[in-house]
Amino acid sequence: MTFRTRILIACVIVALLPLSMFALGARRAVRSLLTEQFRARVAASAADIQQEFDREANSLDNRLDALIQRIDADPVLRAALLRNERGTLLDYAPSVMRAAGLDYLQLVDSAGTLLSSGHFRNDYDRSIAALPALVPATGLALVSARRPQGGFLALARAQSFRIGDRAFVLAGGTEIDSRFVRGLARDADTAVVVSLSYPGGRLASADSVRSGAADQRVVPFIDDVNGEIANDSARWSITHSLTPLQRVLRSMDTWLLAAGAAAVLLAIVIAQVLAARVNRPLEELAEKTTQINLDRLDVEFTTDREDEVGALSRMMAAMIGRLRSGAQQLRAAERRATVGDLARQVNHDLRNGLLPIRNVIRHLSEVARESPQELGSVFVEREGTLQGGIGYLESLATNYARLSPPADRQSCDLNAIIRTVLRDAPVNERARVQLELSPDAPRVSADPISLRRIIENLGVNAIESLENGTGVVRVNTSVSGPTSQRRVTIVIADTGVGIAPDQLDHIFDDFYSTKERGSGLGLSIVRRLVADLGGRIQVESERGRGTRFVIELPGV
Amino acid sequence: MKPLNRPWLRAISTLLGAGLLTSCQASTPRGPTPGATSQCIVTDGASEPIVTIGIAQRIDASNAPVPRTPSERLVFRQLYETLVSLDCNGAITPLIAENWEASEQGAVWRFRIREDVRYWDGSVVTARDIAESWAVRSDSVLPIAGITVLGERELRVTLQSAIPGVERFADPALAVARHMAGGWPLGTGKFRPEPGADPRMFRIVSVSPSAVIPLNRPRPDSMTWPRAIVFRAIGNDARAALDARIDGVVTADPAPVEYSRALSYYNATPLGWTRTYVLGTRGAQRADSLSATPAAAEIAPVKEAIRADTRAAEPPFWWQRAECVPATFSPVRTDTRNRNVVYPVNDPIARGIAERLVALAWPAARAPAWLRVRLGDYSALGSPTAVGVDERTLLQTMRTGRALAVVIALPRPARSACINANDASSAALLGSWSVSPLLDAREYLIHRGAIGHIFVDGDGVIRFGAATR
Repeated sequence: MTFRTRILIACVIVALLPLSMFALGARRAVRSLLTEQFRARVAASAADIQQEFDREANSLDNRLDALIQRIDADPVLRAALLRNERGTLLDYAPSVMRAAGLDYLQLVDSAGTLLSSGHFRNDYDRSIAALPALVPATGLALVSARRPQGGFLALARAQSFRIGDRAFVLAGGTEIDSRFVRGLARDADTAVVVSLSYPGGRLASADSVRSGAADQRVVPFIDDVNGEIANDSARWSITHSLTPLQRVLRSMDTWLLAAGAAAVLLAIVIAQVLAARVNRPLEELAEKTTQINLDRLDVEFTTDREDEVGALSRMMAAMIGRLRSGAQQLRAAERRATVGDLARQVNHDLRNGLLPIRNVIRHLSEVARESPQELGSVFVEREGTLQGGIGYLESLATNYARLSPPADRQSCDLNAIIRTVLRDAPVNERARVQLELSPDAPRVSADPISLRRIIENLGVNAIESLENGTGVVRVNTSVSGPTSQRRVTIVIADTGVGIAPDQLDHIFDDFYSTKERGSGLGLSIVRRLVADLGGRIQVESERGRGTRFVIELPGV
Repeated sequence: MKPLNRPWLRAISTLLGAGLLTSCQASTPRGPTPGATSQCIVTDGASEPIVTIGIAQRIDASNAPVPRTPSERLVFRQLYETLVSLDCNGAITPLIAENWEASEQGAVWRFRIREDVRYWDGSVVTARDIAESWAVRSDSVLPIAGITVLGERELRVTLQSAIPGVERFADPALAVARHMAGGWPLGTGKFRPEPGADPRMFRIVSVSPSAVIPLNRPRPDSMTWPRAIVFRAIGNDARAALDARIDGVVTADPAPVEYSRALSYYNATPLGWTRTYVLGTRGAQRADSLSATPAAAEIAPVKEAIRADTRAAEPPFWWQRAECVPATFSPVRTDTRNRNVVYPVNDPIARGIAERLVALAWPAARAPAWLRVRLGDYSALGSPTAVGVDERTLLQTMRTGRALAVVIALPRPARSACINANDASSAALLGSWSVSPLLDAREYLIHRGAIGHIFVDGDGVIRFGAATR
């Protein structure tokens, strides 16, 4: 995980954590407050509804009392009741029900046999045993009744009366429906939901909702349609919808989400700024660090920062200093080792070169001593050997002369040297040397002989690497960096056979050569010359595709 | 005069009717039967010049001459005539036709038109007029294959299937009328319409020479029917109209009948058992119920709830005769979710029956067995409901089968002739529903003394004037 990501996560957590805690606390407080209000409203509505029912029960009692008094005063009806005169009885309840302001009116005998129905004239002579049982009850009962056109619900009361020695029950009520239940809920804005659940159905003032507070009242239920005493009861439920609470919470959630989103955005911006301030110097340090190697220890870590990055820069600068010192010591040691090796090699080579000469001289001495007359012919015979040994020694001398250190430095026109060297390059008609020299006329502080040797070695190697002498050698120069730190880059690339990866690590070693007649010192010399000039050399090669040498030198 | 309201008179009437029925069954369809209409006369006194009769519904001229309501049936009967008529005892009486002859077992009928038959405007009624009059009616009650005008006064009617007697031509749906654009069709009856401005009143005036008496003259003893009849819409309760001393009311409601008996200047005369209320249910075939008429004891819980003079339906029923019903029986598609018992909304007796059946049908486990069998398996639907609909909706319901059952009145003409006053409904019912006869019902004419010569037709509708032309 990057440092930037860690800063971002930290900022987001810092922004969201307190906000979330505030949101949870606020939601809890609002829920508690509103729930308490809901309970109070439910209790008030339940009290109102109870009052309404009590008033309705009293009103029904009064109307039933009045009807019973009229029955008492009507001799025809009294006689019809005593003699069960169906014609008169059937028309009785329908004729008085509407005038009494009732929607439900049943006249039954003491056994519950229906004698006359106000809402369904032709429904009679069946048992509604539950009606007589309703008489002593207080309050209203819910009755499921039916008209010819269909069923309906009524809130009803029952009164008993006697004609002669026979007892009768008159039950009357008013129809209720969803509109009635909605009326009980009164103010829809308070979100109080009144519902009536009864066996086989439910009436409600509003659609089913999640309730926050509830009050329940049980009322007797009579199934007049089926004429049975219901074991179940009906229940009035007064509940408070959670919709207002949910609305408030939704509003809160919306604002909290908006605040959270804003906090996250702010955290991201702050994280980006912080990360940029911390990361940039670190990235610069990292960039400089990637440039460091043994051939490139001129990277500067100077800074005036007082913070941890400044301390780190100073530590890096000190480390570079130590590396430079170590590198010089290492190079000196290496040079000493190289000189030792060279001395041993020179010793060995000289011995090898001198050995045949000594043998010839010893042979000539023996001839001069023992057969002086043959000295001339023997000398002629052995002169080739002498010349060969001398030639070998001269060749050795020439080769070792190439290892000699450069002379003093001067500002050199790199492009001119490249042109001069490669103009006389041994190129046949199938090979082509392509120069892409910088128009900035790069100048390098160096010994022109060293520069010439570098270009000559690499150029000749590139031409010789061309398979069957066919291909292209490109030489490119460029200048980069500010004037004070100008650097000149030379790229010599060929389309030759390339170098195998296992050979690539050794090509700068002394006496390592992939050529049959190579001395193994060319690239070794080039590496030393480049290092002496304060530059560095890199090589990239791919078998069959070619090789690319990149030399970077400090400019003038 | 209350000749048919006493048991002994009813017995005599029944005996006379039975005797006439016997004589009619022995007759051949070759010409008019001598009319024995004296038993069909309800009143036979001199009339006031103008008589006011109460009706329940308003009259719609666009229906003429085929009535759609009981009130139109009463009014149109005074205005339009058929080739023959059937009196309350089943006797065939010639009206527009002078004589007739059947051939090919009753599949071809040849009629000769009376010479003196005139429309109200005095123009002669020709055989072509009759053919054109029937041609404009789409819902003919007879399967007429073709009408051939043989001469000015002769026509031949070819039927798709044979009919046993000429009484089918007494159906009001075959009344003769000349259609006039934008007005009442011209008829041949003894009265013609004289529309006024008050939509609750409908006036008809006599075109008969015997009643051409100026209204401002004293009433002569010989005037046997009024100069003008005013039909006044009085709704379903006739008692207020009786209090207002209306001249006559035809009603099935026992309340005004009882009420009239307390008023010395009114007579209540029963008009005969002219309707049978039936229960139409969804059966697989016609035979499901035709052979299973509920017993009188089974019907008793229905009868006692009805506010009308009814009795358990007594056979014979004309719809049990093959020639009177559609040849094929197409059971209605079963709408298993429907629990409506449908009845015509303007018929209080049908409503009472439907509501009583609904009361008896639920709880299904305690419903009478005969009713449960007819209604089928309805227990899962819940309590059936009684639904009153207008005639158009009723017809649609019977054709589509969107009801648990139907309660309607079928006409019960004398001799159980295939006269079908409620043609389309009867055809829809008998073609697709199983029919269970429940109750016969009859109406009463409550009238004041001086109301003129009135007799009862074969389908129970009263007619002012002479029984024949």
